Amino acid sequence: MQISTFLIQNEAFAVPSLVVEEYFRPLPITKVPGSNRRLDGLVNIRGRTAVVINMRNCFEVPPRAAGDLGEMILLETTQGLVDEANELGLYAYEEPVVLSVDSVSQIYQLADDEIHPAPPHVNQPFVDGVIKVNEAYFTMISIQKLIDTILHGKTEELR
Amino acid sequence: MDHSQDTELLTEFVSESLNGLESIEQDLLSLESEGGTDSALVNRIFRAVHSIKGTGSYMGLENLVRLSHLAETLLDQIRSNLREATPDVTDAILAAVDGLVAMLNSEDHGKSYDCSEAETKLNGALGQAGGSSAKKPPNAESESPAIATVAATQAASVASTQAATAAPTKATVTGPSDEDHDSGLVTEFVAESLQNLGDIESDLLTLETDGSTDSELVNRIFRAVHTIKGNGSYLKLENLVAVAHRAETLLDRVRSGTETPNAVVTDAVLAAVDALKSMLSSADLGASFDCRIPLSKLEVALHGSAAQASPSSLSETDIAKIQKAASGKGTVFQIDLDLALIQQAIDIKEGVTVGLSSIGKILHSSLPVEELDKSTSGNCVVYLETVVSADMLCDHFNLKPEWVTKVEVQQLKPSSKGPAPAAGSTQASTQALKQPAQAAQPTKVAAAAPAPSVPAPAASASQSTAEASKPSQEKAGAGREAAKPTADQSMRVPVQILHKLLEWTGTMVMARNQLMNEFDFGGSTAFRTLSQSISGVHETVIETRMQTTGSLFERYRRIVRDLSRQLNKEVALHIEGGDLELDRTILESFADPLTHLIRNSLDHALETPAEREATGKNRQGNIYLRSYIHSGEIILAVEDDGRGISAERVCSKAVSKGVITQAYANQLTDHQKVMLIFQAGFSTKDEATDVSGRGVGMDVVRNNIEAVGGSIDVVTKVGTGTTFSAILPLAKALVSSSLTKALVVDIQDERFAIPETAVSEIIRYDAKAMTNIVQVDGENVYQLRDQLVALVDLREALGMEQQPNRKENACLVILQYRKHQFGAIVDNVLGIQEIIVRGTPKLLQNCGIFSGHTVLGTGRVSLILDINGLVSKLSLKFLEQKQVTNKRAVSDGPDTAMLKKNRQKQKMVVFSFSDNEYFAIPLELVAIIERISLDSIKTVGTKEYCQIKNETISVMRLDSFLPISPFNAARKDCCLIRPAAVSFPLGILTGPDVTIIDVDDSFESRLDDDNGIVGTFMYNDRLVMLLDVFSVFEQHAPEKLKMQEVQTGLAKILVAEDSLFFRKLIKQYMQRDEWTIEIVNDGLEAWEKLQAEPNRYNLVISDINMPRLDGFQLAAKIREDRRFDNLPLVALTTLSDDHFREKGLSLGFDRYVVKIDKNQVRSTVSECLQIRRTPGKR
Repeated sequence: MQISTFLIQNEAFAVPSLVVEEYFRPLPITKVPGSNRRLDGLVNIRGRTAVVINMRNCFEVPPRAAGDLGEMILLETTQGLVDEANELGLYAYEEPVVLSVDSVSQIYQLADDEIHPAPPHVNQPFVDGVIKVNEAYFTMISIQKLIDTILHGKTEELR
Repeated sequence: MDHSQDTELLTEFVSESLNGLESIEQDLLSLESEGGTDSALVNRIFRAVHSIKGTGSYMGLENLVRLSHLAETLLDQIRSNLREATPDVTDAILAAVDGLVAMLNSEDHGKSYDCSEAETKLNGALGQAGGSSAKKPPNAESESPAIATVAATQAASVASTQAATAAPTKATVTGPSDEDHDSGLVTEFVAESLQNLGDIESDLLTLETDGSTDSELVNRIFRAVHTIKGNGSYLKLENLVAVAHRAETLLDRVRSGTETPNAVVTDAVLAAVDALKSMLSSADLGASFDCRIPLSKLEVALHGSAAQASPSSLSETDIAKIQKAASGKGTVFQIDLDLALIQQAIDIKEGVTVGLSSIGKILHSSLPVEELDKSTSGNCVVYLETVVSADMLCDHFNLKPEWVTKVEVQQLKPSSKGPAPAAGSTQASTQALKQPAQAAQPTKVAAAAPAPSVPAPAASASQSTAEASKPSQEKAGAGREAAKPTADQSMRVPVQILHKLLEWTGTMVMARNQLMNEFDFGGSTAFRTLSQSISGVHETVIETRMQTTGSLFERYRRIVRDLSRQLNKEVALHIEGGDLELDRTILESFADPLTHLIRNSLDHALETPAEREATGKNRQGNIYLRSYIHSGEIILAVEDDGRGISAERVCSKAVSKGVITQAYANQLTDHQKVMLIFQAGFSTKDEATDVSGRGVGMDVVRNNIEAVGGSIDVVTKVGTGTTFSAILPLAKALVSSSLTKALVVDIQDERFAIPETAVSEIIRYDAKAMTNIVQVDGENVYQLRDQLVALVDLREALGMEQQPNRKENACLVILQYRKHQFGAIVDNVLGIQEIIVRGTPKLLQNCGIFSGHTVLGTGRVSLILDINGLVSKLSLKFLEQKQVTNKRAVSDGPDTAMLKKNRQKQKMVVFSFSDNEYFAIPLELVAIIERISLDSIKTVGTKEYCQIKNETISVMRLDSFLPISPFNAARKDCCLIRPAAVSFPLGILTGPDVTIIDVDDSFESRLDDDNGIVGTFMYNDRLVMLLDVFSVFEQHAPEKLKMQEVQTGLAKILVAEDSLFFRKLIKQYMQRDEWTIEIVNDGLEAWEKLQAEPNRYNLVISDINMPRLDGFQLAAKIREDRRFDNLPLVALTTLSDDHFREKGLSLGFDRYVVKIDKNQVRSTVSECLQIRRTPGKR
């Protein structure tokens, strides 16, 4: 399996490369009042509208410094590839979704697909476990669980 | 000759024929309504049928030809005036049309199609002596003596498709017979039904495992099955309907609680679900499906035992098989097995299935032998060919001798209601066995047929009936003409492709707008052309999706016609405003609800001709289908002039069915009562009919309409008729990627789009000057000409950060919501733009205040505000005007639309005494409003009385006690308001205009005056004075109302009351030197006060309905606390129902007083202060 990694507050996270379509520089975000707190809003990426998930909010860490817009990862939307990912059990969501992260990092080819259980202090429901690559550890995120958490989380009060 | 291998030609023929048939159907309906005199019309129909026959015969489609030939013959007779186009004749032709459509839509173009029903009808119509209509023609299902020749062919076609079918129900028509010839409809039905069945399965399992009584779950299962039944019956899938119907009956029992969802029940329903699934997945939609097992299971669950499977359910094939065997060397036994009994002795599977087949050959079994297992019970009839004797059989298998009978050759009779009434002759049966092979496989010769440009005139038609062989040369010519390939006028495209196309073009339009924003193209012609093309493409794509409401409405003509015949009612359908265009997908979502409403109207609402005549109506009932746009909403209405809906009947039914409680029912207005029909589980008809339901339906109608963002309303008048309106806001009628006009506004530097249809005007808003802004009870309200509109600050509403200063160009956008208006404050208005509407991503759907988004010229995403969502999110409540006694009350003043946020409402009866002075009494204090004539008031001494229904009522004139103008004696019509909670007959004389309105608790207090007026408020720009009823009554009849005050000593009384009005009234009523009254807003405040100073109060008076902590909860809390053991508690409430009273008393209230009689309140309080509570009493 190949994984794409990224940083959030200097911690390394990973998602399967198959569910990633592209990286891009931050686009202007339209805030959506009353939406889930994990969501930043909507961006227009070449005519398509994508929902931006703020990963910092997901892990409940303080926001980036003002002016630091981080980087964006567009999750796979091409129908054929989405199907392929879903067949492999790597969930890809039907609507365009963007992850807003601090910075994108390397792509690794894994020899060993084993996902170790996450350390006990990680209690986010969308963390699948930990992957070890060359003595470095990456926290594996399940896109399916992440989106489920947002979809079935209660409506946030109007801010 | 069979040219059917030429697929291209065939496809063309099918689509052309379908077009032809569509026009036939319309023509036929108009022919019937015109009494069949239009010869041009008849000719057209004739030609259409004829050309189908001609081409069909060239293609070698025998079934098709036979049917069209019969129809043609019939039409020819009409054409040459040998016959009238009576409804029965039209029926027959319509049946033929249905049959033809079904055949054309089927895969083999009707070769294996059973058209016996239609043929029977046609022959029935033909069999009638020309012109004589005295004798009623034979009905569709029964055999006609005139069709002996057809019987054999009929049997042939039946046997071919349904050799295996011996279902207890009749299974005649294969394939759909839908009137709009849309094979897509069937596909859709199948897909939808399978989806529903999938849901049922998991629901059922949940139901069983939980053992739960989740009524919503049962309802859902029930509805799904009901929908399948309904659609199936519409498509004439009888096997499917039979299973669904039994399952539905069973589920209905579960739903109504007479049956628990135990294993037997779930098992049976699951078996039904499985059966339905396999039927839907089969090519003929279950027409040849053997549904005995699921049916027997359902019967077991329903009756505790399976229905007797009688030998009459044998099909011809079986009979033939048995007869053949019986006449052979072996012996045939009919073995009637009682499965439950056998089961005790031997294993059914081992013993019967394996055992019986080991000693002989099972010719037929009423239940499929290989599927017999422990769970099947009841009886099973098996025909066994064997060499073993009856005695041995009994011994060997432990069978009772009476179960085994020897079958004689002549003994067998085919089913009387079986699909083919081909009599019991062996000849017919064997013939039936031979023919299907021929029909099912096109001959090889056909493939090598000559070039398609030379049609062979009706060659194969001779095979069917004698008449078929003599079509005239002229007719053949017509056939040739029609067979010529014509250019395709339309083509079918999968909707998915149109969706994608629309999405792309939407993106193109948005990108174009961005380009125009970013670059200056100057006068570039190329860009202008490009821009125009893009707009053109978009418009065209949208056009492909648009349909008129008329196209939907036209479908119902057939339903109305068929149903009215079926129900023996005379009904005319009127279509008005059918030119409204809507997106096809939106329009389709109304198809089912409208079908339901129309069926209901026909079945329940419209009376029989005799009933109508008895009530002085025209024999013929009318149903109107209308579509129009009204205040920003699309309305599709179904109106009938039937018997109307009785609010009281609906209400009592709802109470008896447990849909609502009696107490709740008492508070409902007539309209609210009628609206109860949309509650789940409600039905006024006790017996379910074929046509419309047993209590599903109306709630499904409502859910379907609400699912697309609409709503439903009903207006009815008993004896006059009912109008159902499906209402859809224009903004909701837009599909994703369509173009619409929107007002783009700036709120805190974010752009938002407001649909133009919701905007009624834009006003400059100067926050500092506060022009036209009125404070009403702490809320800002804008005075827009002669009405007040509430103000919503969108920054606040959207929860955006508040900047201290509003920009100079802030505007007020007056928004339209239904009939009401409210003002939204925005920072700036950027003008009206054409925007592409895009849906809301699922991840954001729970926000609720946006109907979608768009991309503006800047490339930024902008959200589109949903006005309905905004109203419900902010809980904006609008004042509804209600008329009570006459219409003028409503049409009088300007239409007031005021709203408040989450305010307590007070219903007030507003009336005038002299012409320009208005008064109000809280509705709770009014018992009844009587309409009287001024002349009926008699004067006795200084007092005036009025006689109403044996009761002499003392008439009170307000001008006797209040400094107001006298009553205008010129007005003869007036009203008498009779107060509640007054023990002697008394009425307040008022002018004729009496209205009930909702008022927020926002009136100015004038308590100090003590002259009979409690306060004032503004309504429709009029000053309305709120009467202190009690004080007025006291002045009017002091001798009756004067009370004896009991000495109580000093007392501190705590009152919890949330309504401002009652707070003031209670304060006034309780005024007494010894008493100190402290009033708080709700239960929680009262509790806090009690906690702070437990010994301060001598008595607590509490309302029941209060926010935060209600009276019941307060009482429970107080009685929980030992410190308050001696504290008397009085409930003072408008909840007069007994069970509330009981609940209150059981929770620890010492007295329960219904609002609000001054005497009663005071005496109760006095009494309570004197007695000491018995501690511990609850």
